[in-house]
Amino acid sequence: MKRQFWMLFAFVLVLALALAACGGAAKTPQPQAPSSKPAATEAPAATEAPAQSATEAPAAASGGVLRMLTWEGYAPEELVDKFTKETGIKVEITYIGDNNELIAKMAATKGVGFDLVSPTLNYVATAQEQFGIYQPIDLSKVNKDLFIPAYWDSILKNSEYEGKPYALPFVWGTTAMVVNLEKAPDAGQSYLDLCDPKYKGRVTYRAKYDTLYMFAYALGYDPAEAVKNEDEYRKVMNAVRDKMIECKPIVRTYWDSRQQLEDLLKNDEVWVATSWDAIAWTLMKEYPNKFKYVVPKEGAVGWFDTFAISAGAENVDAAYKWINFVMKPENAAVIINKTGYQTASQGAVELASPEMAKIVAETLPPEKMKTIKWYFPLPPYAQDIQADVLEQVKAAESK
Amino acid sequence: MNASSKRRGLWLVLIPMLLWIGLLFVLPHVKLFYLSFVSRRGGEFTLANYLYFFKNPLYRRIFVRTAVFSTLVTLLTLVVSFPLAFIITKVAGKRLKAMLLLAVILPYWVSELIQAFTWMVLLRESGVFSYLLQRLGIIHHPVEFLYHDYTIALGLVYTSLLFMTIPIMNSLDTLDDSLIEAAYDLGANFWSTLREIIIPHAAPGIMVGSIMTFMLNLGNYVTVTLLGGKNSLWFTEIIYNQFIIRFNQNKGSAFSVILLTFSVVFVWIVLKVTKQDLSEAM
Amino acid sequence: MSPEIDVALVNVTKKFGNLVAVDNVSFEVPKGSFFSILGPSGSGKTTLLRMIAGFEVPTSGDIYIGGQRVNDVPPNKRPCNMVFQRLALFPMMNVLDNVTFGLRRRGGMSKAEMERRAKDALARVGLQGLEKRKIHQLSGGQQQRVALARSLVLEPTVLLLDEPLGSLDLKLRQSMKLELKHLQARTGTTFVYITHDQTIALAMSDTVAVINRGKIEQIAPPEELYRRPATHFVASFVGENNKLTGGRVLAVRPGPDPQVEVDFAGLRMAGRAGEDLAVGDTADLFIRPEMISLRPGKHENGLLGKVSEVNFDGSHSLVVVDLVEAQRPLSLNVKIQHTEDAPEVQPGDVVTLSWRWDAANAFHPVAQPSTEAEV
Ligand SMILES: Nc1ncnc2c1ncn2[C@@H]1O[C@H](COP(=O)(O)OP(=O)(O)OP(=O)(O)O)[C@@H](O)[C@H]1O
Ligand SMILES: [Mg+2]
Repeated sequence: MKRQFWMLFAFVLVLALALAACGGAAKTPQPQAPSSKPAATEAPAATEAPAQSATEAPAAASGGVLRMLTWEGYAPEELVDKFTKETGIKVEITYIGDNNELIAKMAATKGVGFDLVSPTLNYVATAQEQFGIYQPIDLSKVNKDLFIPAYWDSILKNSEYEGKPYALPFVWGTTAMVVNLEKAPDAGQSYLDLCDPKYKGRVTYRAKYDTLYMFAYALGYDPAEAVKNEDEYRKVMNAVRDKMIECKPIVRTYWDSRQQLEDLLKNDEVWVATSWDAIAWTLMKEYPNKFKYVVPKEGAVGWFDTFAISAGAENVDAAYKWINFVMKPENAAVIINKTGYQTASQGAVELASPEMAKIVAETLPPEKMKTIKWYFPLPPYAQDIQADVLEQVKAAESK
Repeated sequence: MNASSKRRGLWLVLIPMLLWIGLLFVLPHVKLFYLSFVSRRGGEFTLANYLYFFKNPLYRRIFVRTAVFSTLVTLLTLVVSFPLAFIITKVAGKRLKAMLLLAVILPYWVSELIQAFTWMVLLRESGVFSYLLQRLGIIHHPVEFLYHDYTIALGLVYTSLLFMTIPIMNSLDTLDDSLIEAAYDLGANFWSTLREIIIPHAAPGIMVGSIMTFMLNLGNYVTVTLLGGKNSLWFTEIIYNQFIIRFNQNKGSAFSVILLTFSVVFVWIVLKVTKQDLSEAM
Repeated sequence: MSPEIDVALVNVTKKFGNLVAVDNVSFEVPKGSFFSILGPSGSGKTTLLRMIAGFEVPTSGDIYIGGQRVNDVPPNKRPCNMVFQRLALFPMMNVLDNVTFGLRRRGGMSKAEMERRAKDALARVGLQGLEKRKIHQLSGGQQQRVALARSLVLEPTVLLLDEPLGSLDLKLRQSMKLELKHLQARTGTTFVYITHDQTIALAMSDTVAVINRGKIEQIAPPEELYRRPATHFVASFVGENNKLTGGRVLAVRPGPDPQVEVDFAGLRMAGRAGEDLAVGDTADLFIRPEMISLRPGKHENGLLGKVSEVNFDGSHSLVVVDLVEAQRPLSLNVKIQHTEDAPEVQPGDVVTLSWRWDAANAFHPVAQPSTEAEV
């Protein structure tokens, strides 16, 4: 009897571990986990491998190693090789698929193991407050002329914690809507079009925070203000929840990955969707008359990925060298072409693809740029409120 | 060699293994268990993490749905796997046997993610399946086969087919064909032979397969989310949210322990019902 | 088809790919008889039985049970039961459940009645009290008896037994042999019994069919099989023999049972022609050791010999005698029964050997000698 119990125990333990790994109970989430950060390309499991140039030992001797935690496409091999050649610094990259994953990885070691990180702006100050994983930016080491001034000012200000800036601007993008011009030419005036019974079953969006903000703005709230007060924010988010549950019969499915969204759109299964600009622009390039990236009257939701220095950095100089290197227009242009996103590099757009530049200018003209609703920092309670709301929406029964 | 040096030799072999099990399996779970009973801030003993689950009707509902669904899918997988295993081990000729085995194993050459995407290509409204049915005149306009409960079931059965089929094949392999013949000879028909001879003999394999399949279903994330669409919330996602989105290790741990406990109870019940001894089955 | 015939095979052939396991076999088993199929390993016995039971489909030919053609009847619908060579007891059930299995399938009987019958069947094979045992808790012999009881309890018209006493020790085999025989006589069940052990076949059967390489060599009652083998194979396979090879036929005396004289190393030996032989043919001669009479000293009409060995064997002695007048070394084995007037011999004694002509059988030599039971 006793032996049987122990056998059972061991067996269950083994299986439970597998289960825990699947369920994300382990600290590092699976790469298949839904990406809650718009990355230009999927981050498949294989790209988790960290080292890029493990064999070049002499280089390490001359310039050390720079260890980066960043998104797929943000440090293309082309640039890494060029950087190593110029500076003698070896680069090791670990990819992340999610801001929370980034924070979890950093928090586990207080940042030791990484020098340079690329968190999204709205996560910087709050993560610093909760986990102390970054160190203040040493402005004397950065070449300010490389940056578009408006972004420089705004990012430094918005990443402030206890009076010190913690991030520099790097790559940015927007989330708005993509519509099928043949099937739904009128859609895209407002995010509430996602709820229009006219498009029942022909709508898709993410069951993620960006959608919450879109609905909040569409319902006339200002979540960026409301978030400062827990009760207020819950009230706003509950209103959003009720709307999303009401609209659940309209949505076909919640999209999770770029592939999924493109399939839905290309197969005409969905006509109106929320989309990252880069996805929509690629589709427009391929089908100029069929798809359009539209920014509704509420404005696009904008995100800004930054450079932040790890609190546990061992090679701070290399990190700044990389920043000054990658923000040179000719280098930043490589990233623009690779990811489809915009950068904060002064003069880079002009060097990138003119065709893309035209599409960007067309869909995101200066007056639309002004209406961008930037992601705002989330106090811990806001994360919980958002998760509550999303869980409730997903759990709601609907046809 | 005397007895004591023999024993020392045994320990030398055992210690690395025990360490491995200890570090990889036991410690994380001890930690999980510990975290589930302390508060997020302060770290004093509390039952709040568990109470939070039991007081939340949404979580209870998702949990029950996940558990019931996993159980049903396990049964369904058994219903599909058993004839398959039987045909492979007892009926098929060499060629068919190799073909069927390949068909069972082949899906595992690609990741679960790719499997799910393959299903999506087949089952979507503009997909292969809908197209074929229209060509055959069975349906008259495109039909969406994705985003239903039965789609989730299909995907889950598919992903766990191998884990059910192989153990059953294993146990059927050891079934002497003459037992089946003897049963027939004594007047049994197909069903009574199945019930009295084949299934009892295959019970250990059925049990191991069911437990594995059940665990896989319970812990699934990708297949459920991609194929299930908007109504597919699974308990693993709730746990994921606790750990990764809300940074609440304590509630996440409590939820994990609840899921774990449920699995243990499930395994225990299966063992009792099939009157199996795990040490015999393995 | 006569109603007196329980099992009949008509020109039955079974091929496995290129291998002809059973080759154009026909026979009839009368109702209530004990019919044995005797043959060496691999000769096709099991295949034959499995076709009767319904587990193999004949490649050609017909099978009748109780006058009914059963080629298309599935095994569970045939009025016969089989005791398997490898027993095939159900390990997941205890002894009683094994034995009641067939009754339960048949239904129409109370549980108590089933158990009563099962216990009865178990008692008949000497296994009372072991009802609750698991199969793996039984000895090989006990298992074999459970297998018997499991079939017997169904009181089948025909019971097919595939070497059921194979794994028993000698003593148990002897007693089970008798038990089976009694059982068969008592129940009147038709037995089709497979064995490669001729002593069993000869002792128990009404009729024996000898099979070799899928072909029936002879079908006859045991005594006829023993005394008047129809083929070279039967002569060499059944019973003990002195086998003399490569003789030349000197004379043939025709008749219903043709008599021949064969020359072996210059000695004339009489025998019965098992098949057509002509003067001048080469022939082998089989002489039963117990049919040779041995007289001490030198006598007229007999073969002169010298005892080289005496092997005491309880009730018998096996005496090896060198034939001194032969042109090349030649010896015969003689079996003497230890009766009151049995001659006493010692190695070195001079003796005279003789036998009735029909105690020896002559055949054409066969190209490939098959498995033989040498003395
Ligand atoms: N299913 C089968 N497929 C191919 N060949 C077979 C099959 N069953 C039997 N054989 C072959 O047919 C021949 C006769 O086999 P069978 O089992 O009838 O022999 P047997 O007389 O019962 O021998 P034994 O006394 O050893 O049991 C053998 O050569 C055997 O290898
Ligand atoms: Mg056999």
